[in-house]
Amino acid sequence: MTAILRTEQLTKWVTSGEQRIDILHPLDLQIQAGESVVIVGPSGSGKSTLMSLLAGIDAPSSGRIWLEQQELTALDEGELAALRRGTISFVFQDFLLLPALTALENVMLPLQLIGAEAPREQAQARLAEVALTARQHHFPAQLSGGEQQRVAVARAYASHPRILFADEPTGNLDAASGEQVIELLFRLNREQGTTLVVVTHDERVAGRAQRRLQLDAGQLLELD
Amino acid sequence: MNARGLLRILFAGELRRSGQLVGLLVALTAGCALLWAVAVVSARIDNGLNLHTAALFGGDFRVSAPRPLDEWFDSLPPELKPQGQIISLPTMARYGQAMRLVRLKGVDDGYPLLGELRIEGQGAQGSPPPGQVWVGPALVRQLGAGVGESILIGQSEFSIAGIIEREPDSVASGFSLGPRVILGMVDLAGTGLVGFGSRISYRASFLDPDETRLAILSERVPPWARLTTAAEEMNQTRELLRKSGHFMMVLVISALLLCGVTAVLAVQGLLVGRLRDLALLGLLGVTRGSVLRLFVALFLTLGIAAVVMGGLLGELLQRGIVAMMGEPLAAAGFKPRLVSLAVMLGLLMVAALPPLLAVTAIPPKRLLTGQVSLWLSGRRAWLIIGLLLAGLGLILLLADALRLPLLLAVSGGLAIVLLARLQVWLLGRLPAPLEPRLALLGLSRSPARSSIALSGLTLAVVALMLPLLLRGDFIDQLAGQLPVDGPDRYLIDIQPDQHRGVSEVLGAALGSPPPLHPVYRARLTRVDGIGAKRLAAREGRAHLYAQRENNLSELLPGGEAEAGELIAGRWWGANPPAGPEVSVEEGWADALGVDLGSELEFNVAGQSFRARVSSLRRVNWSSMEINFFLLFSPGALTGLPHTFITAYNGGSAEVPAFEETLIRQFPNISVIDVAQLVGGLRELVDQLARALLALAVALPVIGAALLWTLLLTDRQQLVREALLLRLLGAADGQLRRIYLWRYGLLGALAALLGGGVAIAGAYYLSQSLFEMAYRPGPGLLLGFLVGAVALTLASGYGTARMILDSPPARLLRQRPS
Ligand SMILES: Nc1ncnc2c1ncn2[C@@H]1O[C@H](COP(=O)(O)OP(=O)(O)OP(=O)(O)O)[C@@H](O)[C@H]1O
Ligand SMILES: [Mg+2]
Repeated sequence: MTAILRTEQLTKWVTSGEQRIDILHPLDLQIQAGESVVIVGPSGSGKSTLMSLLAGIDAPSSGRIWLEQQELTALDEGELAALRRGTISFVFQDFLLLPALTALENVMLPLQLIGAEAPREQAQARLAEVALTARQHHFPAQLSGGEQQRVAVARAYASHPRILFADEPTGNLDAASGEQVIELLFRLNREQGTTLVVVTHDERVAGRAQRRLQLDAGQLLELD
Repeated sequence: MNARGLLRILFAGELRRSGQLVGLLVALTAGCALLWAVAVVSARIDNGLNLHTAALFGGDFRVSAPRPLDEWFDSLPPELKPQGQIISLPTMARYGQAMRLVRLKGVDDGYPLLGELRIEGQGAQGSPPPGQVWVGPALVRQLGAGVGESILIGQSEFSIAGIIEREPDSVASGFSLGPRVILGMVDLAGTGLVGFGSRISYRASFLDPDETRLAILSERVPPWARLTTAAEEMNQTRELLRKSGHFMMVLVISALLLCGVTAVLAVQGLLVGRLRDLALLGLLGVTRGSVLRLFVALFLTLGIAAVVMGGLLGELLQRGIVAMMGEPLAAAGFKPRLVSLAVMLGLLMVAALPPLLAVTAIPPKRLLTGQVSLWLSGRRAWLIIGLLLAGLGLILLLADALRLPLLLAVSGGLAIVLLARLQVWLLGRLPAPLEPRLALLGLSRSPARSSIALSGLTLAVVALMLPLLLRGDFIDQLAGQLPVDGPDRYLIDIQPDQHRGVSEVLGAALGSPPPLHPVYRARLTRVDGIGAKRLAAREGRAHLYAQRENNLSELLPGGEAEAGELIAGRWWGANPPAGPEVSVEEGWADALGVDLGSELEFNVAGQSFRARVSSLRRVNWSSMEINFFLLFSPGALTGLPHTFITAYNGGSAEVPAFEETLIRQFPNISVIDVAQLVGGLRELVDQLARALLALAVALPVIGAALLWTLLLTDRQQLVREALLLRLLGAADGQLRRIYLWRYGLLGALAALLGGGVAIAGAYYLSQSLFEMAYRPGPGLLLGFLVGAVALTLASGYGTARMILDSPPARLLRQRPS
């Protein structure tokens, strides 16, 4: 197995006035292609920060990150964006759907942005997979939280990404909806071979992952 | 913690989150400064022009007669008595052996009623002390007598106390040849000249700016006296007054529009950014009333701060503009200042209350999703509309000068909002490729907010364009009103038997003699069978024309071009009409309800006659050429008693030598020297043009600054949306194109719609107010299109840069605020 993501002495700190707050201590990590990984840890331990760094949407304070052969830390914003296109997708705790677009249009959007063929048909297929065909013309405000998150999952998988990052995907959902979303994420991970990195407090999620990492006060621990 | 403590904390929080508040403050301050400056300068120009006109005339109106008016005054109630009296006559002044014809003017203690009498080295003065006279510079030169020396006038000896630098009412007291000598009324009686002279003119001047006494007095004037008004006689300044008044009205409308737009957009931007806070307050159990009070207090604080700073800035701006002009300005008083402050605060509250009331009525749950409209509905909407109308009514009551501008602005604004809404609706329905569609997402899916934004931009474009569109035409017109080499001297009272003699002298002196126009003094007795009394009761200037003498003339051969531009009917050409016909000036015709084919009946020295109206004319009175309200067909007036009048340019000499010959040969003829009037008018026009130009330029500059801050208020939301697109894989080029589309379209739509409205407005205003053919400048429209698109694009580019350069994780940290 080859590592799809690799970090070397990755750190993140912020300064507040004179004071420096270390969020992540030097951290080495490898994630294999097709793996499902969960990151757990107490609130404020740096899980979301780590995920942002791994996904290349935030810049580390020091250290290096590779996505396959490409070093992320050597790229500027434009190049990072180009690298992410069609490779990396996200699911967030509060869905982040575009309120002005319907469910279907939200799912179509990443396909259209990368110029995929037949975006409408592909998006409809994804929506069918998350059992929302009947709601495809509704706007986010008309959907429940669980339904919105399923749309977000459909959107995340629409462009067939290599890696999917999910930050607390069930955080805003009740048990039943959360179960549905978890089921979806792992099924698509299995079926499409997408690498899945999930940050969660949710024991049910943690239990289904192949690998579990724990962050504690900026230090990374491999569980098991 | 109780609600009040919470409010205090939140209020501090609002002030700390300075970005948007500072934007709002800047926008409001600029708006206030603009409104202040425009209102004050307009008022000053207006007052100044009125004063200037009246000062040149020596009062608002006057009664003049060849014999004393005292008896008539005694018959008048005290409130109708004149404010000033002047007696003038031509006579000889003697210094040693030298003698000179002078224009003697006896003035009372109140002289001058208006304006300043300036004496060299002594500044402004009133009537000279007893035993002393003020004299014109020509007299000192011609007699060789200096200040402090004595000259003999009639039976009295006077010491020359000073040399006249500027005589405010010189035009009004014209009428004869020779340098001016001013002396006190009592001294004049002592000369023994009054009572024997055959050409004494008695004049009583009245101050009556609101024309309350004019109508009453005009009915009581004895038949041997003549009542004339400044507004009527000073045709030239009247035109200036009217047109500059209209132009300033346009400026005020524009300033109002800009301020209104600023207030609405700034407040909306601020509130949209606070939806979550509002929801939170609701969740924390803060009552709706408290939230309302909090924001009203916030807006009031901001508004007052803006009004104070804006007032100061506006005063500076106003003074700067005034410093460039000087004379034709009079003090404006507090009214325009107070009104502009009140209007600005009112506008802010009117802009803030509806969305505030709407937002605070929405359940917190919906606020959290961010999907709310700031439009009103239901009962509350009616309440707000009622409040708005009441506020508007109040402003209209307070500020009569703002009445028409406000009505125009409100109706224009409404039309634009509707059009913007239509555009947004259409945009949402256009099939378009991905990027423009994404660019317009926000536009078409929240039509209310988008319409407001688009209307704002559009209105701003209108406000910026309108003065610029009209400015060129207006200033050209002002400049074109005064001929460079127009006549500046008039000869009046030329008797028919002197016609040849005068023509010969003038012909010899000037190369070719100027035309001599016959003048018939006539009273209007009927129009289409309606008597003069009933006509005089009409609104407007009818009483001036129906009750007093009119000067009639006949069209001279080949005089059509000089007589004005026909707006109806035709000239007589080579074949004279069967019966007497008359061409009427449009203003005169309007005042009396005269039209083509009307039958006018006049009385000249007891003889009655009728004529049919065969054409209507537009006359450029400012040309200084001789012209007449009523011009008859050749031969129509033959046999009626008349005199002749002519005019010419006297050249650079103070008194052309041939005039001496003329006066000696024909002592009854009077010369009127209007060189001073023409000079004064030219100066006035120059200053007016400069001031209006300054205002018209200040407006767009400040307006552009306003627009810029307004575009920034939209930014937060855009950044959010763009970062999300970024997370979903939008490439640099795609994001850039989306923003180009969004801002380019917004700018282009606003420029097109705004440009269209501005051009329509300019067309309408040129036709109806300025009475000039509108010349649309495609260059300006194009310039505005490019300008608006460039401005919006620049703002969009700034946003795009910000997004392209920053890591998208920011979005995840900065949750919607
Ligand atoms: N920009 C920042 N400025 C200051 N502190 C920051 C910043 N970003 C992160 N932090 C701090 O870093 C720590 C880690 O934040 P992070 O969001 O990664 O935590 P988390 O593990 O995701 O917590 P949770 O489970 O509550 O979401 C927190 O203490 C947070 O306050
Ligand atoms: Mg987190």
